[in-house]
Amino acid sequence: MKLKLIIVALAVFGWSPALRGQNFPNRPIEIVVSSSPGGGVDLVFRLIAEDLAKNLKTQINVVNQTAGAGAIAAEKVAAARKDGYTLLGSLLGQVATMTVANPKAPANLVRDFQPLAILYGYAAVIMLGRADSEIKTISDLVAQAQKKPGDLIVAVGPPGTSLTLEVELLKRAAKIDLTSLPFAGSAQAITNLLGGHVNFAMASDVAAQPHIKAGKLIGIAVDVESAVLPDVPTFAKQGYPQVNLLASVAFLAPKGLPDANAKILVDAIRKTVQEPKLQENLKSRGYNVDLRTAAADVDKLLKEEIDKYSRFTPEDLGWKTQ
Amino acid sequence: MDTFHLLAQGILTAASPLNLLYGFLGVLLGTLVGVLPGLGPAGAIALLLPLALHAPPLAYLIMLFGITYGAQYGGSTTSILVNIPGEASSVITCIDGHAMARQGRAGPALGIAAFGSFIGGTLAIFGVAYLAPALAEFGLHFGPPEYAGLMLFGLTALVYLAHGPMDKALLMALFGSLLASVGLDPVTGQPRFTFDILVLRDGIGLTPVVIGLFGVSEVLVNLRARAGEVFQKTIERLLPTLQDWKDSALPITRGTILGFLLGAIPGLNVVIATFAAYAVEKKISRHPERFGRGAIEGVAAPETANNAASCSGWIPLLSLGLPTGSVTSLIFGALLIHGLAPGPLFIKNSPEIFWGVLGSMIIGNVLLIILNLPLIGLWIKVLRVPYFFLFPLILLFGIIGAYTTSGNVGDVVIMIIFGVVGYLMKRFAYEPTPMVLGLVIGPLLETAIRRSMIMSKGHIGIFFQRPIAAFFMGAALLMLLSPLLTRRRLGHEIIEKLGEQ
Repeated sequence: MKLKLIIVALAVFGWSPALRGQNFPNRPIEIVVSSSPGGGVDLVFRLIAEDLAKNLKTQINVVNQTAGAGAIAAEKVAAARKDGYTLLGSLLGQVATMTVANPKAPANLVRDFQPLAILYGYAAVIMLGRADSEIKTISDLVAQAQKKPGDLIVAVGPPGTSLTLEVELLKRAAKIDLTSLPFAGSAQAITNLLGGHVNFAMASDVAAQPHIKAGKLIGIAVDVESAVLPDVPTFAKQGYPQVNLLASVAFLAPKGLPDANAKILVDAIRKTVQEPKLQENLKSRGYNVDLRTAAADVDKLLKEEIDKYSRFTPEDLGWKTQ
Repeated sequence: MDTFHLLAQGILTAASPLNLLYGFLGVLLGTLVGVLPGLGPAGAIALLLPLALHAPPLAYLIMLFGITYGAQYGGSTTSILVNIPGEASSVITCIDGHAMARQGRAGPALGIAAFGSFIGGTLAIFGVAYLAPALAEFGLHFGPPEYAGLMLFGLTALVYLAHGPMDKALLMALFGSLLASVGLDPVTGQPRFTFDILVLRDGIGLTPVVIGLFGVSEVLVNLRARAGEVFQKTIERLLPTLQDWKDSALPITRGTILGFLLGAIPGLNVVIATFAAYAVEKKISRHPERFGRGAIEGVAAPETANNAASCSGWIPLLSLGLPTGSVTSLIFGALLIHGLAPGPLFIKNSPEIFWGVLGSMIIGNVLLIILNLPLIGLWIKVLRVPYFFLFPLILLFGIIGAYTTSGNVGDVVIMIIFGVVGYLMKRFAYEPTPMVLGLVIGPLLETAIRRSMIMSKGHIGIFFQRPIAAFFMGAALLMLLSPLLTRRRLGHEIIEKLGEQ
């Protein structure tokens, strides 16, 4: 049935790989996305892939492979043919955490991948509070936490995600004690904050925005300026630049693909993302569009990402092996 | 405009040719993935996600919603016919539904499942239209301690799910919850029982286990037994009798209410609603001994409950913008693709979408009942298909289903392993249903208790100081102690036990 659906989809929307004279790409490109379909990471790749396919004049298949917290997708692409037809679309931090926790794993961010393009700080993580609470800023929060160590509860995400780790960084930087209560993700964290079961919640800015608009919740701080909530100040502006696990997504190719193919892909991605229509499209859905493609730039960002996560133990990152 | 007019407006919008076409495609596809064991609505929606960028928003959403409730209609078909649930939410239907089929009453079983689905599904839409905001607020009162109470109360339903000896059922429930603990610890992130196998980090999924336990094992059992003996019986009739309707009227009513209320609580699996509906029917029945031997109430109540629950399951998403499971998360993504940010103001800001989708669900349910009743005759013919042809097909769809859920071969291996486990369980008369209950409730109960303990800094009082939590804790205790209080029943059971020995 899956095959049938794909065939129908192809027939309806008429994607046919243009058989032109050029050598690359002359067949479909596969982007393996290591996040679940319909989520924020998946959506950004789908939106870009849609227009990228037109620019590259080939078909692009976005497939989701979420098993093993993204490790299986990373391993698959790392082991794929180094020709540019198989790419990894991933949250950079996801691959960085695996690498930091176990540098000898089959997929290592620095050893096995060549970053083609990085959408730097693609979406903000926000710390939310309740509109009816007295605590409106980070300094209010720190003052309150100093008075009652461990009494304030923050709903965070699963262990190892930036939703969780940024609270750890805040605790370290401000030398305060907050109780982190892990949930499955932004939606659950927000639900529990709305229900008054916790004092604060960490969430994605897109998920949080409707609740702030409705006047139920307030934004206390963001890790990077948010496209949908421009009024919420960053942690850095409130004196805590250490809370900076900015989420970036990256197009990663297996290391060692031919330079010519890499250049075609990088140029096409840059051209696609610079088109005003897609920019508008991405921004209206809450994405920050800060694309980095220069080789020196992306290599530096990759190393920075590793450094950021090296501040944590494998246990913190949720990647301790048995 | 009042709710009634808005809903009427929605029906009119949904009845436009384009929306109607997409709606029909949705419910048809939903029925199909519902019938096929292993394939579910989540897989189908994920597959259709790329179309979101091209299709008109409302029509596209109507199709996606159609898949979700269409699947609840289809799920019972294979449960009844071949004892293999098409969806996890039809696991419980196997017990009495398949027993009915063995008695030559597959027609009435399929019929009551379809009518129950229609009634539960349609009433729940009106429930959503009138009660969504209020129920959404109510759902927010469920924090970790309340979940812990509710889950503990849910576990007491075990008593009514077991047909054989209680000790075996308990053992299976325990086995199920142990299985659920495989994977990353939800609080600390440390791997448990993963043996450094990457796939096991994600835990053991419900879908591959259910296909294995019910589907693969059934195929294995039939390999061993003389195939085809079951359905030599003549099939008496295709639709429920008047007596069937009398027996089912109240179970359908109760199934609707229970399913609707449980579905509105964020994060509660529809499976739990079906188990609860079954347990309630058996508990209040004057003849509980009929359950497990083809009681039509055992089909009517859970099949109604799963439709009502899957409908009210939209409340947290539509009125608050909070996705609560894999299917709702996918629809959340689809709404985002169309630039419709679901949130507390969604109904106010996008009324044409909200009421259009609700309207389409009313039309869709009518389409589904029209589609499903004639299909009963066809399905019954499927029973005449020789096993050597039918079962390889079931196995094939099982494998496809297990694979598409996660896109991982590991899940296919898990499915096959649980096929063998399920075969052994059948050989030694262990029931799989309590195990599914353990697998569904186990992780919810664990995270709820551990989160509660973090909140209270280790004080157990948190479960009794908050009114809703205390209510469920009390109810669970009462359920467990009630056999001791009602001495007559206890005496009866002891006599029964002695009689068995």
